[in-house]
Amino acid sequence: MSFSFLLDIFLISGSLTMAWLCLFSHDLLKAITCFVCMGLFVTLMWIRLDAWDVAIAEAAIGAGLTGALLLSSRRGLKKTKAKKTSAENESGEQDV
Amino acid sequence: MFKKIVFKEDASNEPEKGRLSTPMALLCGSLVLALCTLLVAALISTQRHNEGLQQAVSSMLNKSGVENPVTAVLLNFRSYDTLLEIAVLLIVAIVMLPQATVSESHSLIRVQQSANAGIIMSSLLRFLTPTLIIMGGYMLWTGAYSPGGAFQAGALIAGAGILIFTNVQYQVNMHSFAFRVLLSIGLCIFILSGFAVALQTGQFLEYPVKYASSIILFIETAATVSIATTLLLLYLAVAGTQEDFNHDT
Repeated sequence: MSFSFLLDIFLISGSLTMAWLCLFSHDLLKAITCFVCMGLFVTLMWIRLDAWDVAIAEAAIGAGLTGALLLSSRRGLKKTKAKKTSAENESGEQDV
Repeated sequence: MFKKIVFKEDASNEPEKGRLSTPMALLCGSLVLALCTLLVAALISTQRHNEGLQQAVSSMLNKSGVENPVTAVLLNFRSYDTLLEIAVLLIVAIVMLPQATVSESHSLIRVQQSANAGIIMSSLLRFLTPTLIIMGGYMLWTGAYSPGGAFQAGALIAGAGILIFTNVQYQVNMHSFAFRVLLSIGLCIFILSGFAVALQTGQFLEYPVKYASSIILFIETAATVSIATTLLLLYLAVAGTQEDFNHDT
C-alpha cells in the first residue's frame, strides 16, 4: 500500500461521496457546495492523471464558474418564488 | 376558475407524487447496477492497445509552431474542431443574451457613483483584478510550451469579470455594440485567418510553417477575449443585474 494508492482511494471515495451528497441533499445551498467540492476533487484526480490542461479548466470552470452560476440561479429561483406567492396572494384578495 | 393551476415543476417537487413505488425503484436500481457492471467489465476486458496518436503528434510537433502537444492538436492539427467549438460558444452566448430593450446609452460599462460600493470588495478588487488579468495573459502565453491556453485564460479573466460585476457600482451594457464585438471577435478572427492562410498554402486553416506560432498566438488571443466575454455573459444573464440597468435609464 503505497502513498499514491491511498491518495487515489481518498480522491475516488471523496468525489463519489460529494456527488452523492450533492444529488441527495434537500438544501440547495448544501448541494451547490458539495458540487463545488466534487469539482475540486475531480481537479485533483486530473492532476494525478498528469492532465494539467484539463485540471486547470476543471478548477476554473467546473468548480469556480459553475458554482457562481448555480448560486446566482438559486437566488433567481428564490426571487421568482417570492414573486409568484405574492401574486397568488393578490389574486386571492381580489377574488374575495 | 384559474385558481387551481398547478405548475408542472411544482407538482414534481412534491415528494409523494415524485416518488417511484418500491418495486419500480428496485427494478431501476438493479438495471442501473447491471449497466454499470457491464461497463466496468467491458473496460477491464478491453485490451490496452498502442500509444494512440502520440507518436504521430510528437513527430509533427516541430512543424506546428508550438511545443505543447495539446495546443498543437487544438490549434494546428485539429483547428477545425476548435473553430466549431468557438462557433458553438458564440451560439450559446447569442441564446443567453437578454431580450433587447431600447436603451439610450451606448457605452460598454457604466459606473454608478451613488451605489453602495462595499469598501472591502472594491479595495480587494483593486489588487485582484490586475493580477487575474496578468495571470490570464500568462496562461495564454505559456500555452505554447506548457499546460495552459485560450480556454483556461478566458476562464480566469471571466472570473475577474464576475468579481467586478458582483459589485453594484459597475454594470455592463449587454446591448452595446462593443459587447457584441467582444463576443464575436474570436470566431471572426479565427475564420478570417483561416482564409488568409489559405491564400498562402491553398488549404483552409493550414498555417505556413514559418508563421505558425504567431498565427496561433493571434487566434488564441482573440479566442480568449470571446471566451471570457461569453462566460461572463452566462453569469450576468443568470444573475439578472441587467434589469436594474435598463430600468435606471
